[in-house]
Amino acid sequence: MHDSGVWSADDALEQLYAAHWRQLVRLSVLLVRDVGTAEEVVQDSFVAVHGRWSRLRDPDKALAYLRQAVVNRSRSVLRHRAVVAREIARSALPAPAPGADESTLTTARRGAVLDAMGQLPQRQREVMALRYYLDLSEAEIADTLGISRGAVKSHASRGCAALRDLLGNYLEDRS
Amino acid sequence: MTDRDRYLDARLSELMSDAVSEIEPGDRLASIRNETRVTPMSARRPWIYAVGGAVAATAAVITAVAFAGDNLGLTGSEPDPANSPSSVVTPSESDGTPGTSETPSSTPSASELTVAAYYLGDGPRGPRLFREFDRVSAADQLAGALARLQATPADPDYRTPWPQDAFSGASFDGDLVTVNLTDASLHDRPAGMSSDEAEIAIQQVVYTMQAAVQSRAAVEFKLDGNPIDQVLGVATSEPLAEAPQTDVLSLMSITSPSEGETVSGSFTANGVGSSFEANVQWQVKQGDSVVKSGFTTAEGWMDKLYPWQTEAIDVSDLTPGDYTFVAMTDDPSGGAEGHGPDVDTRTITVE
Repeated sequence: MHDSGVWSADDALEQLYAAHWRQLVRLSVLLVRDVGTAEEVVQDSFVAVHGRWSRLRDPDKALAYLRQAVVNRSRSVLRHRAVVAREIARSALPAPAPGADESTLTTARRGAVLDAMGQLPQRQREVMALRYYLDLSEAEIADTLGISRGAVKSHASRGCAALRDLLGNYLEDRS
Repeated sequence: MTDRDRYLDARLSELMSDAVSEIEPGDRLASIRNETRVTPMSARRPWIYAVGGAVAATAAVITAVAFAGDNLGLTGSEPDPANSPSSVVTPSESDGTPGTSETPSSTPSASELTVAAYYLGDGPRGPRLFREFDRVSAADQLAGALARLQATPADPDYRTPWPQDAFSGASFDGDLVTVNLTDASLHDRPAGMSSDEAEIAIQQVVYTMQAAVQSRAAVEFKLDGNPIDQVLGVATSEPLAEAPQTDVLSLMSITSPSEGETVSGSFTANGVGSSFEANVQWQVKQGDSVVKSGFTTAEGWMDKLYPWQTEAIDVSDLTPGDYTFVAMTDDPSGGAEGHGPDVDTRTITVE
């Protein structure tokens, strides 16, 4: 346990960054697709958590706040960007390793997952990302999104159904 | 859950993790550090510090506070004070002696203005600032704002700790707002005033002056032309920046209706707030009973206060009389954790 008197906002920031930067950017990519945008979103979230440190003072709370900030900022970014569709079209996917069939398949599969996420309504997408990428419990998702557990359940079941439709082949195919 | 469901769940987890598994984000730690560094507000003004314990701990965020018109109290209907950046409102400028108690409204060019004034009120986490738009007769925004700081707020829930003759004048040189104290009587924290209240009172001046000049200018307190080392016991030897909004402002502040406003048929309420998930709850109460309620969504939440506005609230079915309009932040825990909602109220008369 860190002593909050010793663990300053700067130290906290550094440790949170080391532990969660990559995962949170990836989470944001699942929500906004574009990697550069995701980096911006998560960077801003880290700055915000630093500013709130005097009130958080606890690594668990800080991480919960960070997650919340990332999800909310990802949502605002999308809301303020009328050109989402275009973004999706030109988004930066990991470049395929040329020539190898397996890599091409992998790239196609990853693109399909991100495409499918992009087609879900915002809330469903958030619930699906928090549940399947971060493995959060229903209660944790409810807290992060500020909605009831019942709402989480219903978004999750609709989201699952939609992803089953959109990703049918990939869900069955274990290659 | 069937085996099939469990299989699909596991598979979805795999697919999702796999989809982003090769994304290696660039290293932004240096940029983040840069944005959260404590000292510089800008390269030109590296000497600005925030005041106080809790405030100092988060002073870094000053660098990240964006200029936001509405949060500065911009009403849209007022002349832009930025057009006169070097206005000087020291009422005694004619004789050059600071410290006279002549009121700003006696300057020849006095006119009716609306100023955004911040007042202390009680929030769930202690004293916080609430914003009020007040009509005042004054030479300009700075003089009007200064007059309101020393006057009784329209809303009886608010208070100002500054006595009538606390300030003798204020000026703005485009970079820095200077506030002149009338005498040394406010140097120390008065008996009975908590240090929290004193710090919020200093921020009350900072926010109100910044609203008056429409700029996140630093505010310097002076006595007899020299910087004063403390005001109300709060260190003021350096010019002061605004503390983060979420630390000093009430997270819910009603702009309209104003206190005592008469409404008929229907009215639209608006204000600023930072509420969980941007949900703003409102009620119309008669005494203690809620006769109307609803919610609206602010433009954002969390890092600062964002504007919100209700739909038209129909009051044509209410018996004419006095009611209270209440706006509050959303408390997803229902009061089970934390301090409960931030609330602002206005007395309205329905006719």
